Amino acid sequence: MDRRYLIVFIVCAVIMVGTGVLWSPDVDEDLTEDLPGQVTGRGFTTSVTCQACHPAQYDAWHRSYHRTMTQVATPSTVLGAFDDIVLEDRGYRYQFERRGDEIWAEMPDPFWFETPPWLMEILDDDFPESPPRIEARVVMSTGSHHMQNYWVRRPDQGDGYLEPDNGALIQLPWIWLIHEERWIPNQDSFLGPPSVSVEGPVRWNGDCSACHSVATEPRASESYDRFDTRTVELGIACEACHGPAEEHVRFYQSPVRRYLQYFRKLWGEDAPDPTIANPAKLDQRRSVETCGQCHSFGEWRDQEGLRRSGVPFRPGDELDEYRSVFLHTEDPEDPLLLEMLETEPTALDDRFWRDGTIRVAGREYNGFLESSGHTDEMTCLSCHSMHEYETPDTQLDPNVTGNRSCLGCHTDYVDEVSEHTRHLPESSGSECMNCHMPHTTYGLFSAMRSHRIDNPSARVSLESGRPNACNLCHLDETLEWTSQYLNEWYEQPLVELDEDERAIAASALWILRGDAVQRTILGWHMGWDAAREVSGHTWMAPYLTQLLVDPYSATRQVAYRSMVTLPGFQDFEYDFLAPLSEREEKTNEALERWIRAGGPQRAGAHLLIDEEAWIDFEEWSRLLAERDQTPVTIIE
Amino acid sequence: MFLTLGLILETLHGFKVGFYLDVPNSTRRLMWTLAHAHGTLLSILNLVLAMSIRLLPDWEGTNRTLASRCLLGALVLMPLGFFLGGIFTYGGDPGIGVILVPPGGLLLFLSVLLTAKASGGLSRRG
Repeated sequence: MDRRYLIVFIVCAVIMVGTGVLWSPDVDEDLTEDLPGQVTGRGFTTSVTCQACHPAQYDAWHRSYHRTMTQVATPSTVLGAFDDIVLEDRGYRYQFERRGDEIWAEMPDPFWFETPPWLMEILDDDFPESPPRIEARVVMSTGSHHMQNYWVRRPDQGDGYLEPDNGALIQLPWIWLIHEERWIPNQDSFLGPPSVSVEGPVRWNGDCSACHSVATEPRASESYDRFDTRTVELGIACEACHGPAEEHVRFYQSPVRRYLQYFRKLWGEDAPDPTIANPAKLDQRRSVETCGQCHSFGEWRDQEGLRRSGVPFRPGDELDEYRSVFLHTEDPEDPLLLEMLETEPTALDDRFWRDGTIRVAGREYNGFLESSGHTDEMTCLSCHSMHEYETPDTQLDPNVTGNRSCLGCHTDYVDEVSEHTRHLPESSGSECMNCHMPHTTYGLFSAMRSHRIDNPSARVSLESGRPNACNLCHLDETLEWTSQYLNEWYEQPLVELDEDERAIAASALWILRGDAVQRTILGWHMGWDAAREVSGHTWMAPYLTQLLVDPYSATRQVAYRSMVTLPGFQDFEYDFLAPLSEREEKTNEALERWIRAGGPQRAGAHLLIDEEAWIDFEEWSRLLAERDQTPVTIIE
Repeated sequence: MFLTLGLILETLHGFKVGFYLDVPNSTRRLMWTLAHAHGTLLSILNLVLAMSIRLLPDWEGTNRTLASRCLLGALVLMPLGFFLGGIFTYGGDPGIGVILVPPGGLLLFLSVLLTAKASGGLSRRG
């Protein structure tokens, strides 16, 4: 070859290789430093590795809310409005701003609010009378579906009474509501009694990392006040459900092994791959437990180990070895539960209906365990699919939507659904889930389906307060009506009811004299299409109006969302966090709108409203006075 | 043929056909793109070889025939392998038809080697 060509060739090659070596995408080193470091040497490979061989599964996961549960805060992931925002809550000011691609918050130091009295005494004069203000960069976000919250690393300038930067990622005490496009205080995003005090900081490292990322090691100090956290991957990624993939990746590096595996599948061999856990092929219990590791209410058994090296459970393991899942009990013996009850005495009463049914959303594994007759065969994948789903909202398997999810096993009813349900075949009353999995769990300003699969029962409602499926659809009917129909159709024994339960619609009783969870769940159902269709909607406004002045902010928000779906209320403006006086004024406006919209077309003493739109205030007030005021806090 | 394939692929793009463009079908898209690219480029290479023959009057006999047939073989095997490999895919791996690609690659290599050897002789003489 001509020497000149050779020289040109070598120069070009050097330029190309050099460019490749020297070029690297912009890395925000400050941001990287504030985020958890990388876990190494535990057999994890991250989702990037999985993509090459499993593009369809990767794509489905990438579209899911599992992936976006935890994200690095960048302009493309942050949904909240951060442009020169000033907010105030409980007497403290919070200021957000964008600096280029960076997001910053200036706020009172969250640690000040949790300083225990004994430390205050020791620090004495050193303890500031008011919280020092800190400036911190938002580095991470949680959620992307209904709401999004944010995490900051507490910076050095907050020193004086605590370690300056303890490595913890602290929750920004404000939540961005995605649909409403507004900020609300974190404290008001949960269903809980009104509070004037500011809560202490929520630490991602310990509280949230276990389920919102893959195999995070909190690496907390013994006193749990310093962290050197490492993680495999932010968000709920492949290895959260499939376990560490290093061995699988190494084994299938060889194309011969990969093609042999494909051919085995083609020939009908469907044995589980020993190099990785696949919940679709695991033993039924192990499969459910894979989801149950996060979708359950309980505690990890080795709390010390958890704080140091994170969750020890891996998909395919027996969950009970590692996690104690708490079921409702009158006589708790589990030491972990007893420990929890010491610090949170109402932990069980808050989270469960009195019949033992979980009422906090996101704890579906508890519901599964409570479902008699289903725990031996069903798995989560009987209805859900993580890689072939209809919508990311529910991740339901499109092959078993609607009644198919139940009728696949309950084949006796396939040709006689209507005979069983006593409802028209295509009606909402003939949808299995509406009767057997009613929306009796609460979470994220919404009522969600209970995953305790059982039969509607007036007795259960009476004894436990858990609203039954019949009265959650037939909102205008009494508990006695339900009891009679369940007796007539399914031979359930009639229940003994008091005068109100016989004469007044169950929904009215739950809204006026029920506890906060009952009120909220009923407020949601008044916006549920199926219930509206059956019960009519023209009588609902006064009840939703009552909930607009409910002491629980979350209840008010749920009611407002239902109210704006009523005819005549689409442009009704209301702020569920406004002072009581403002909200009371709004109730007058709401009732006026109701009258203008035509008042009730369905009325009667059982609804406490007559045809002239007169409300029976005497009865209304009496029931309100009987309201169950037990404080309830739903920790999601 | 490869012009037609290119038009078909462009049509699939134009109508945003998921069977070809969706992320889960990225292997198919890659394989068919490679089929089109290899087919087109190897066709051109065949033409270039044909035109180059007269620059190599001394290149005769078995080697020239072999180089030409190898290039023709590569033209058939490589695009066909990529195309078949994209019909049925196994996740991130192409279908078994892709097995035609390596022999095609070898034939191409052999053809290039023989041509380079012949043109090397020409260069030395020039």
